[in-house]
Formats: sequence, C-alpha cells, structure tokens
Amino acid sequence: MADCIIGIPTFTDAPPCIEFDMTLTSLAMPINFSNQYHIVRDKVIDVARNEIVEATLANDTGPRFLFFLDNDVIMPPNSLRQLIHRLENSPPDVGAVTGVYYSKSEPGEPLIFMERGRGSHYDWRAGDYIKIWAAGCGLVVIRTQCLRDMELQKGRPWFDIDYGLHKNEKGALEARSITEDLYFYDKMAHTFAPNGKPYSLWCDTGIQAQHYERHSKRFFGLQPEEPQAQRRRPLSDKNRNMLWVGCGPRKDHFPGYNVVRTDAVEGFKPDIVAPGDMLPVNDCEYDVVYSSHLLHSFAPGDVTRVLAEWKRVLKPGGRVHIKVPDIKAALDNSKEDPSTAVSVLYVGKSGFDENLAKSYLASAGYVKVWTYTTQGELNMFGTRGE
Amino acid sequence: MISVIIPHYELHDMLFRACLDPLYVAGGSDEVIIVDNGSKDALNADTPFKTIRSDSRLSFAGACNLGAKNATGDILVFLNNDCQVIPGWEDGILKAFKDKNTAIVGAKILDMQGRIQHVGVEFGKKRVPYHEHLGEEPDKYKGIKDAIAVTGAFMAIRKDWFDSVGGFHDYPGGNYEDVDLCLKAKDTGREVKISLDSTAYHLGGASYGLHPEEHTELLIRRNWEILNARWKDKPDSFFNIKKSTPLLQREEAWGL
Repeated sequence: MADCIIGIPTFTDAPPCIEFDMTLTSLAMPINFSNQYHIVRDKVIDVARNEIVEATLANDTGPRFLFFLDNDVIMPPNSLRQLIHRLENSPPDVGAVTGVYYSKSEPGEPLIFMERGRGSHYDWRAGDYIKIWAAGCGLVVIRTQCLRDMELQKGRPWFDIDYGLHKNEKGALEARSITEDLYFYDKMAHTFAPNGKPYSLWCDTGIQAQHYERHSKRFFGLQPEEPQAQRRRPLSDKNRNMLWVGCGPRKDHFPGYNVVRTDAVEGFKPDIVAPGDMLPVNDCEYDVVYSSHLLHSFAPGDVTRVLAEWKRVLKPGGRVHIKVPDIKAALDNSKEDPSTAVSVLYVGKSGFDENLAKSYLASAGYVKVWTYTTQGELNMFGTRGE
Repeated sequence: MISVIIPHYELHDMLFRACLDPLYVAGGSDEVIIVDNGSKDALNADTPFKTIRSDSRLSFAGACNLGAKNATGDILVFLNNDCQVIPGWEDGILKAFKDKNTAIVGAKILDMQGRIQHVGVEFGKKRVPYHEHLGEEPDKYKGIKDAIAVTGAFMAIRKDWFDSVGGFHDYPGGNYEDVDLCLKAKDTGREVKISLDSTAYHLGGASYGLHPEEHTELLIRRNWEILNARWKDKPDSFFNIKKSTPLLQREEAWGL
C-alpha cells in the first residue's frame, strides 16, 4: 500500500552529502500516509524519470502522488507534508506543486519560470504560493491522475530531452534546447484535468531548498540578503498587525493597524501572493484577520476549513472580521425587483444569513461570535480563544 | 479590568458600524455594556456584549449611571455610540491611571476628516466650556497632560471614585454632565488627565438630531445654566480662567 511514490532518479553509487540523508529522514509524510521509494541508478535523466512514472502508474496499490526528489536537492524539514497538503487542498486541475531550488551557477538562479525563453522568475517573496509555467523537477509532487491523463491525451513519453532542430509554425527552422523538466511541464499544461481545465503547476516559495554541487561541495539557494528572502511588509511591533485576505486591488487605510495584504492574484501586487484558504503565514502571527467579499466564493463544504485557516494565523485573543453579501437582503430585493434576482445567483458559491454565519464561526472554533447586517452586507466577527 | 459603557438610543445601524464594529476588532476591554436607552425597537441582546435595556428614556447621565451600576471593571470607559476607537487606545488610558490620584482620563478625539475635535476642555471668560485646538492637525498632540475637563464622548473613570461621588449629575437631555464630573474630580482633590496617545474618531451629536422638540443650542444654553449654578461659588482660578482668557463667541451670543 502506498499513497505516495518517492522517485529518486539517477542515484549514483557515490554517496551524496550527509544533508541529503537528513532530507530523507525529515520528509515528514502526512500522518496515516504510506510511501514507497523507487530509485533508479545511473541512467539518463529523462529515461530515469519515465521509468519512475511507469512504475508509479503500474503500482497496483494505487498511489495518488508521485514525488520526484533529486539526490542533490536538500529540502527543509517537513516539506513533503506541506507539498501534499497543498495538492490535497487544491482543485483537480492543479497537477503538481513544487518548491524552489536554484541553478548551480554563479549566482544561482531560482528554477521557476513564467514563460518559455524569459529566464528565471524573481517577482515573489519567500512564502508566496503562485501559479507558474515551469520549474525544475528536483522537488515536485505530481498527481498520478495527471500523469495518467497526459499519457491518454498526449501519449508517452512524459519526459524527453529535445535539443534538435525543428520547423516552427511558420515553417522556419528553430533550434530547441528543451530539458526534460520543461518538456514535461509544457506537455502537462496542454493536458486537461477531470474538471475540464488544463493542468497547472503551482509553486510554494516557502519551501526553499539547497542545490548541492558535489565537486565543489557548495550549496546554491536563496541568500538571506536577497529581496526574495525579505517580507514585502514586515510585521509591526508597535501597531496591531492585520492580515487582509483577498485584498484585490484595494489599499484601504486602517488607522492604527499595520496591514499585510494577501491575494491569490499577483497582479493586485499584494504583500503575499496566496489563495485565501492556504496562507503561507506562521501560526499565531496576527491580531486581526480581515476579509471583505471573499468567503462566499468558497463552496459551503469549504467554509469551515477556510475559517479555521484564518483562525490558525491569529494570536490567541485575535479577532476575525469578515464581510459577505447579505443573502437575505439580496433575496428580499429580488422579490421586489425580479430583475435583480440574477445577482443573487452570481454572488458566489455560498450564501450566508446571520444564523448560518454564526454556526460556521462556531464550528471553526471561534468564540464571542457576533454578526450584524447593514446595507446589503453581512458582517461576521469571531475571536480565537486564549 | 476595563468596562466599556455605551449609552445608546435608536440608531442601531450606526451603533454597529461606527462604534461596536471597530471596538470589537480593536479589543482592549474586558467587558462591553450597551445601555439601550428606550429605543423603540429594542436592541438584540444575543451578542457577546452585555445589553441593558431601559424601557423609558433616561438622560445621558442616567444611562451612563445605569451602565456603571452593571459594570464589573475597576475602570469605566464611557464611549459614545458614534465613536470609533483606534487599536491600542487602552494603553494610554492605563498608563495615565498609574498615577493613583488620577480619577478621570480623556482621549484625543478626531473628527471624520482626521482633525482635532477634542484634546481637552477649557473655560471661556464667562465660564462656558469649549474644546480647544479645534480643527488642528492631530500629530503634535502626544503624551499625557493635565486637563480641566474632558469630553464624555470617550472618558475613562476610576469606578470606586465614580461611585463615591454618585456618578454623573443628571443634566436633562445631555451635555455638561461630563464637565460637571471633571469639576467634581477637582473638587475632591483628584486629577483629570488626557492621554493623547489614546485616539478615537467621533461623528458627534448623532443622537441630538433625534429631538426635534428641542433645539440643540437651546439645550446647551439651558444645561450650562445648571452647570454655572452648581459651581458659581468657585473662583475663576478653579476653572483655570486667567486675565488672558478670551471671551467666546458663544458667550457673546448669549449676552453673558
């Protein structure tokens, strides 16, 4: 029985560094989760990776995930648990989630890419959870469903190295230098998930790995003085810290608060790029979590989980303030003016009235729960217990 | 332990949005008591706040005293229902109360444009109280200062002293019970302070407009007569009135 296959390609007999052994012992699978190793020795990288994929799909215990780990990638402890947590809580079209490691060059460059031919992507801060085009395959968790769909829709192989000359769409010859990882992610992006959307790759930049160069015995990775290692907005020790989840393009001023803005959309230039239900934020860091017109975009079955995630980042005694559309007021309006009824349908995935809001807050473990409605809005308040 | 007491009449939506919403998020108190002072539609009591209902309409002083009776804290903070506290407000208040002789602590109150509405009350030449530095930029006012009187829009009081003087004196309709209490503090040898690091925004006079039967200016005039009569035996120095103290526009208009 295996829930996750840990695939290590091209393992050479030369022992890697002690740090890699420590990586293996500190992967920290989720509890009640089993894994099997599949190690391939001394083969070309694309051949080795394909062999691991084949073995994963042929494994009759039905593993749900394949974790590729290169034997020169030194992961922070508990990273595998975090990557699997990300995938388990993402929609099915998120085919794979990776951490960050750097090229073995001087200076090292992050192996995350937004577009072919554009070089490394730097517009992030450690802790962001962002959608990317491609990355290395040194520490990536892939859904086996995604691998299966790739084979069905695009055919084998999953990995290929393509250094040849090809005719492009205009008929001109073009030299390619596609490594096996870029080949894979590109093929994945052209494969459709069960929910009808193309598969996407996400990157949890909170997982910063070291890349070990065995000849010079050097480690390449994010340096503490680099801007990517800095918080976009540091926590204040003078003012109360407020985490604004789902800020959108707004930059409202909240007198007396140090506001850290988060949104899943990078274009809004938030302080932290992350979906509202998976905040790359430590436990017990904030005095206040504020969110306006986001919670109702989660499905009813997810609301309690989202509220619990927001409670997690609150200090004991910290408070949450949530605004959602007042579904009762919207319904009443639509009775008066049926032409507005359609807006009720499009407010999101979940509807709230005061009683429902209170029961959601209570089931997520908040105390001193309070709600009120005003001008078509429902305000929800809760406190994290001491 | 801090008990916040909010006298309230009628405008539930304003109470929620302008006062309770920011107060809940900012925290800082151990108990919030709303005195529902005869609103036609009673306030929903199913909240994390203590709600005390008076079916008949009491004066502002009466509502405050009723709230105080039900408070368990040793510091009472009277807060208007159109007053929005800024987080950290309690720090400045508690700091000022470290001086055991301090009975009352006021706060820096800003109008909705963020300008000074109140950094302490002074008296004009004819003993009519007024807010000094009205409309100024707020940033230069910092720290803890002595005051003759402070506004009741946001006023912290030591409960044992408050009880010993019988609470607020009843001024019908409201106004000047706050100044009166501050004069009581001085009269009993206690200090009135203002903590300029405790801040709130104040809409101001939100409930006054609900009494069309009495013009606000007439009400102020009538209640000033009560104040003046109660304290007429005190010398000018008691009110910090000096030779340089100006004659206020209002004092001129009232023909004092």
